Amino acid sequence: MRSPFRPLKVPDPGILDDHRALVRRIERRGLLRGGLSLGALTMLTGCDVTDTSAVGRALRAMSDFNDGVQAALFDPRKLAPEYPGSQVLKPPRFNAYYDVEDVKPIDGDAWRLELAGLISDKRPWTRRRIAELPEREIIIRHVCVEGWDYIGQWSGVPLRAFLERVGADLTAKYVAFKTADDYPSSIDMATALHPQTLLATRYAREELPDPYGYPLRLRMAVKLGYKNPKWITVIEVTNTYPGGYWESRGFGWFAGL
Amino acid sequence: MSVRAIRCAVGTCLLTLALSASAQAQTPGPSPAPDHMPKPGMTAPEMAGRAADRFPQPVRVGDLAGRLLLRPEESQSVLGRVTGLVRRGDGAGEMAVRLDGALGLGWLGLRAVAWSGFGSRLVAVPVEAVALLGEHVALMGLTPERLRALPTFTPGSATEIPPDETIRLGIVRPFH
Repeated sequence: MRSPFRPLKVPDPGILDDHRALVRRIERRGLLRGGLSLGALTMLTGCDVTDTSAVGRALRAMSDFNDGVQAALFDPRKLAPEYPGSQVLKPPRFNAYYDVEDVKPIDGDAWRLELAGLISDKRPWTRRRIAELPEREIIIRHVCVEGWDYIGQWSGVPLRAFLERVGADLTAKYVAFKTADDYPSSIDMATALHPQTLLATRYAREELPDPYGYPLRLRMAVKLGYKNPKWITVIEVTNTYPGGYWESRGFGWFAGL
Repeated sequence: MSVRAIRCAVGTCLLTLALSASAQAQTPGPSPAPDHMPKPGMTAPEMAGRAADRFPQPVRVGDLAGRLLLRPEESQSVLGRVTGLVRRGDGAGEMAVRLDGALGLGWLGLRAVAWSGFGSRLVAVPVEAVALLGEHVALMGLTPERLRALPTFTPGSATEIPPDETIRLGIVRPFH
């Protein structure tokens, strides 16, 4: 039985085509209302809001401005809350931009982690060499931009320790990641050096299962879930903005918590 | 009986009729289902094959009790609540699910409340027909209509799987 709070009739999707002009006007009104804030007014000065690309550029500029504010407010010494083991969700929630049936497991023996950019020792890493590095465990909340969250228990090498070990330029702006599932991502150096940022190899003290990023994934306590790439194959340190999968589709880049 | 009382009685009858007509009008009609939605008439082997492709993960049986069974659509509406797991004589695992009854709070949209309404009942769902969706469970191998058509499950008619036992269930991403 359907809930009485749900609409009696689902609108025909074709209605959007029939009323495209009206929808555009509504979007413009919303944008202008949003523009009442001083920052947005500054961004919109001289913009022609009837031009979709101009609106897009204004929104992009606003998002970049937000990224800057978040970066300025970020305290690299402040730790995110950690939780007791009794709250850990086992197994964790799966999410990706594709269905779980399309996950392509990695051959851990053949897998190599390549290094690129501002790193002095670019020799590739195997699973065994990574396992020899000191580990840390964190029990943190995973927060998804979709509105759900869970408590997860992750173990792995602190990214700071790894970057120091390979002689990365820690004054560079960005750390970028390429993955086996074609999900590029990047973070700011301050977050990369945060104590709760791990190159995770285990969940709940067990080897990472295939769908959660085996053999290596990123886990951060201070960013939204979509900033944590799985199945990492390349790490690059750079001063050139690398972007990311969702960022190129309009999501914010900093995505701090 | 006064005229006022008769008016009240007639008014109540008309209001009841109007509400029940409205409820009838909400009955959903057939619509094209996305790929991840359960296909009507899916056989047990087909269900098992699809479940095996969802990377089954270990989960403690005791951690499943109380989870919501969700419909695999964007709204992820609540279909019922898991009460436990049982094993049939042939070894097949089934999930005992309490379906929402008339005026159940799941039906009203208050999914966090346990009361399932009048006429709620238990059914046993094959474990191959469900997948883990984080802290919930999603119905993947049966349509909601087939779920509701399942016979009522009688506790004690199958062996209860102890809470400390671990089984493997497929996983699925959110339907947003």
